[in-house]
Amino acid sequence: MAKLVDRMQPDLVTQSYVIEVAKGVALTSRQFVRNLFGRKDTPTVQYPEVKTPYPARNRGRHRLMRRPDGQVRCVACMLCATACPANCITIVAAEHPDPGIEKVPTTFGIDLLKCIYCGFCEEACPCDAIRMDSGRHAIPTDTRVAQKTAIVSLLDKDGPSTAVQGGEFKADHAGGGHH
Amino acid sequence: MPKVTIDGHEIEVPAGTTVVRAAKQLGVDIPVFCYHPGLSIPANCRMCLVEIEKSPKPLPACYTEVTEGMVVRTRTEKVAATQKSVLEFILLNHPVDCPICDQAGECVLQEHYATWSTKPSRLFHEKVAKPKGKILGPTVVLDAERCILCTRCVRFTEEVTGTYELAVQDRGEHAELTNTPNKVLDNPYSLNVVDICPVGALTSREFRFRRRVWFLDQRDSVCTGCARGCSVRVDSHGNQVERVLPRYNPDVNKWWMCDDGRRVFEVRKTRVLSAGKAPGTSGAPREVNALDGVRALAAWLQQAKTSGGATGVALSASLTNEDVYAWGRLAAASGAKVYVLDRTAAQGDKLLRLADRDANRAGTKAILDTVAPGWGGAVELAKDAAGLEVLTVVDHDIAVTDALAKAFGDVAHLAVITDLSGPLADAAQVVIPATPLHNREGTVVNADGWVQRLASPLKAPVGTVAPHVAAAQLAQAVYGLELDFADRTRPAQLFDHIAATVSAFQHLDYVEVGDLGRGLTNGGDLAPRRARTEGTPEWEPDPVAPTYPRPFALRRGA
Repeated sequence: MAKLVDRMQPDLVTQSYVIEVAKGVALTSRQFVRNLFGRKDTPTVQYPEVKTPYPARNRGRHRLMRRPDGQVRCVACMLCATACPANCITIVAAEHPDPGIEKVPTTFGIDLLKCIYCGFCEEACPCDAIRMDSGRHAIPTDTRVAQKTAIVSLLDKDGPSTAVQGGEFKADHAGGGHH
Repeated sequence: MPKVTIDGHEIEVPAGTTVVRAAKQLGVDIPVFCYHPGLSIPANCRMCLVEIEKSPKPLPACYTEVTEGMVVRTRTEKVAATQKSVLEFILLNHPVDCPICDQAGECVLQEHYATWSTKPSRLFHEKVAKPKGKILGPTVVLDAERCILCTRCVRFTEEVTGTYELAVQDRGEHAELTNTPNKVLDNPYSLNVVDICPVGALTSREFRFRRRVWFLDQRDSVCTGCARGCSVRVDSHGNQVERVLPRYNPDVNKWWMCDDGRRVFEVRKTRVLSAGKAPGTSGAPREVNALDGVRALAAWLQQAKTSGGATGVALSASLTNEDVYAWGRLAAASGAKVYVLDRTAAQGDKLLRLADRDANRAGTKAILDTVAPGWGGAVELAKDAAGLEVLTVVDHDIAVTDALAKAFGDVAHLAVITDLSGPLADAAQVVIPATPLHNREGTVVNADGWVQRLASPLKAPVGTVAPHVAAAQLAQAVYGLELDFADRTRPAQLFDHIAATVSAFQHLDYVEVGDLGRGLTNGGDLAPRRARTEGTPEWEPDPVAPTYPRPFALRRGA
């Protein structure tokens, strides 16, 4: 429903703009001088030389968790691939030599250009095998060539994460900038 | 005929009908595990217990036959409590490893638990450990912990194949499915036990881990492995066939199919033709696609037409009716002689497999009798070969015998339309890549004269042509005649032509043929006149075609 609004009727002094312009210049100048002589609480940082830490629950690049004996935790159940709204996860399963383990992924690929970093994969994972707490940034690349390699195999690109089940967030994973 | 009341609905069924079947006809769902319409009834899972008036205890619906005035109740508190207890008992030692179980998504236990129970487990002891990943034979692997001991597979090897390869050993919670002593599960129908297994205990070694079932697209088709023409369901993902399952067809294969039929796709994939071939300007062969191949063949046929040379068309007996019709009409119009060639015969058996491996011999015969009377076989071809200027072979895995190889050598110009590489493609000067039989739509007629629709979830490869389309192109290019089928490239349209022209196909309709097929309408020396098996006393068991809404049916990908 339309609503009538009374338009402001500025007086003559305001209409001349002289005082208003002076007010604006004063505000900008005050901010300029404060920033110039080192105000400590300015929110701007000198990215990329300076980086703010990611919040603890940030969803960054994926990593695969390991069992205590070093094997990949993933059992290739494909629930992450099923939950994935972007269809970016490709897993190829195979028999595991150990009869106690039903199956094991031989390929675990994520197309990071398709990935929307929604975190459904780690929600869906029944055995905490995939996490997005690597602290590494999503896939901004400097070159087009790097974009073409966006399908990364989590099994062999950097090797599976060294974190074991229930492991703490590791400082050496934080920092981003690693493409 | 006794009249029975099930959950307040009355139905009259023939004497001897079991309660579970009568209920199915009424649309009342009674859950079962061990019951399979194609096997004997052991009533050992107790899932189908229902209340029957005047009976002090619940009775198994799968085993109890209806009697006059019987009143059955399937949705009472007592039945619900029974079902919950039965499920709790069955699930007691079940590993519940659904995320890594291949059956998940089409598992009867999952469905029944979700529908009838959802009670949490009360077990606080350790579950009984049993062998996992135990290899029962070359095709099947067993996870004994998942097994619910319904004995469907045991009964299958006893009653259907008669090979007695499986048995249940030990008792109580130690009872376990195993091979009978000194036997492995190795028979031509072994993979059926995987289909009828209601849980993930038996899995196919070939399909195991390949794809989660909810990613698969399903398409009803016909097996082209032999002249039986079993109804199948082709499960695919992307443009790749992942598995082939039998589809219940009371008139052809019931619930079963042979292991060879499931591998038809795999086997043909290894022999697929890489490219066509035609003589280049210098005379040396060059690689061509279907269109250029058809042009090269058209040039030869044009020459033969001008010089008045004799031409011939050799058809495989494994083509679709539409191919046979188009090529038969083309041959008749151009005065070419038609020959029908065979695949190598295989060993047949009493159950399903036939020695004749040609998928459409009956249909080929019926159509050619009308559109190209006087057609011959390999013997006639060997006789006529030397006098032929152009022979066009429309191939699907024709067995090249010594006599045939000589005949192909005698022909002045040999052109082959084929989807497979092999001696025939090597011998020909022109090879036109055909759309593989399993990538096409059409109809085939099995050995009993049963017309069924062939369909495929796969896309036709680029640069290939369906044989009936090639026939239409040649008819226009060479003979200048717009054959009345020439612009009908869709099998359904061509089938209407066949139905109008060929008496055996009279009254048949592409849509009406449906997914279960129809019998040819006239007998002669063909198949006896057969009507569709009426009524639905038997039904397709749940594991093969789930009737419940599938959770991810609409999703594709991964």
